[in-house]
Amino acid sequence: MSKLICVLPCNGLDKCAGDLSRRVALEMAQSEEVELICPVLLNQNKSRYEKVLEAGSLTVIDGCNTRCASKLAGELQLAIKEKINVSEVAKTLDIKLGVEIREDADTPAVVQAVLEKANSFTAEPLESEFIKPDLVEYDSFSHGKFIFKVPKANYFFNENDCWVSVSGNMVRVGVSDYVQQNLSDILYVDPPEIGDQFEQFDDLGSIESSKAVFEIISPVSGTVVAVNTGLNDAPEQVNESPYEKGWLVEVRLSDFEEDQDLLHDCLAYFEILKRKVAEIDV
Amino acid sequence: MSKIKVVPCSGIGKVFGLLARESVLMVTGEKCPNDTETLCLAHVVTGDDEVVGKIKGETCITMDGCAKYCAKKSIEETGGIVAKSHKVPDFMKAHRGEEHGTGTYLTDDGWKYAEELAEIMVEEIKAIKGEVN
Amino acid sequence: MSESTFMGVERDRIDWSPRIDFTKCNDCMDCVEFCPHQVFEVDENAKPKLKVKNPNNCVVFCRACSKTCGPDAITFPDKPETTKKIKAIRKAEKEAATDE
Repeated sequence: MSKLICVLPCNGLDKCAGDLSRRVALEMAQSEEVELICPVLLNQNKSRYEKVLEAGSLTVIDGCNTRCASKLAGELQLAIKEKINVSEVAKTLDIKLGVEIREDADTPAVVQAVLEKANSFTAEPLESEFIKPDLVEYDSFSHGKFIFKVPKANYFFNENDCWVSVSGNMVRVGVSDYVQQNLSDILYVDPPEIGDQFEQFDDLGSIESSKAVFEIISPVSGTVVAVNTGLNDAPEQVNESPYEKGWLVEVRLSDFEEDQDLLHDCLAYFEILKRKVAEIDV
Repeated sequence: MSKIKVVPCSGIGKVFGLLARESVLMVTGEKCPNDTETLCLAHVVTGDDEVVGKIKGETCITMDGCAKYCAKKSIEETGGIVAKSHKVPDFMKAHRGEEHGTGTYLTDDGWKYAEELAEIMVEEIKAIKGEVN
Repeated sequence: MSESTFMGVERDRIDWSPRIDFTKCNDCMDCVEFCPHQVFEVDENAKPKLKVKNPNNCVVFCRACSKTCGPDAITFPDKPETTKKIKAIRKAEKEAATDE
């Protein structure tokens, strides 16, 4: 696969974030290895970009949470290799974008930060250092016609029903059986970006069914090392195997000892879940 | 070559089951009536002789509403040859955010999606017939 | 529901709920339809129509509605700050318990 990168910025004409998307895309397009894709033309006539999209990998730049560029790529069924949200990057720099388009000291700062983020993606993905447990045993309880299962050992939970399984300095994060049963058939998994650094209780992407969207609240703090890409085509794995095959994110820990203080072990979570289910009267 | 059997699942609670059935009916009733026919999955499961005779050793295409793959599994277990199997959620990404309807009615978007699923099967049927001829 | 707790702290002692910036809100009501916990309510006769009716129904640390808001009109309290406050209450209660 060539090193060609296709860049698709959003079109936000009237907002600061959209203006910044455009600036970043133009900067990137100065390189010979980057092809710039106009979102309006792409929408009008996808075939114009068919060749380059096949030859290169696609980086999408969204100005804000409306995520027009990502949505357009999704509608056209384009595989997105990397996604950047300009507003999110600005937040990490403590810069408030506002609505007015401006050109001041903040502008190059945000553009630089977004470019750095884009460049960090081209690094090779690390080999997974996570060692899965051989056999996971479960305890279960029933409430009405539902049966909920929780692993017997080696998993930790936060009260947002997300689990973490530890293997040295690496962990995997996922959702509990309770979540997948509540959501019913999961249709989409929106993972976080590889390389994202986050604190305990930050959001690590989301999963969606026809019933609702569930935000993954991280049980730990650390850096995203890998995401379960198999869930793109088979999101039902989260329903079928929420604690094993349906893992969502792989993380390198930053301070598990601190994190653990606010987590529950399997036995404690089992009791908490029992009480929760009884209160809600599923 | 006898007609290709195109079989949807029976899922009655959710819109996916309805999408599966309507898309298959478009194929067998409108788009490829000479090359395809559909049959009732429940008859496959109860082992109705006539229906089992129609699928044993025969080429079939299944359209399931979800990952339980009821149609695919039942046809395979009865000895049918599942040449192509699909589930409605496979193509959902392009339709994210749309309202498709309920277990008993389809919205305009739902009908469009059903047609899209039907077209996917039509292409496969053409390919299968092409190989045979 | 006033008996419900989050991480050992009574839910009504934790400040976590959506804040709506009505200069940005365009009345689309996507948030109301989206939230499965009935946090929002619409009052057709009020101005503004949108209201955070049940702030304590809001799942602590969830910000899903703000991700869904097109005009970015929804914000939440700072997560690390909220974590700190929860930790502080837990510590105080633990100390109070060991004092007895």
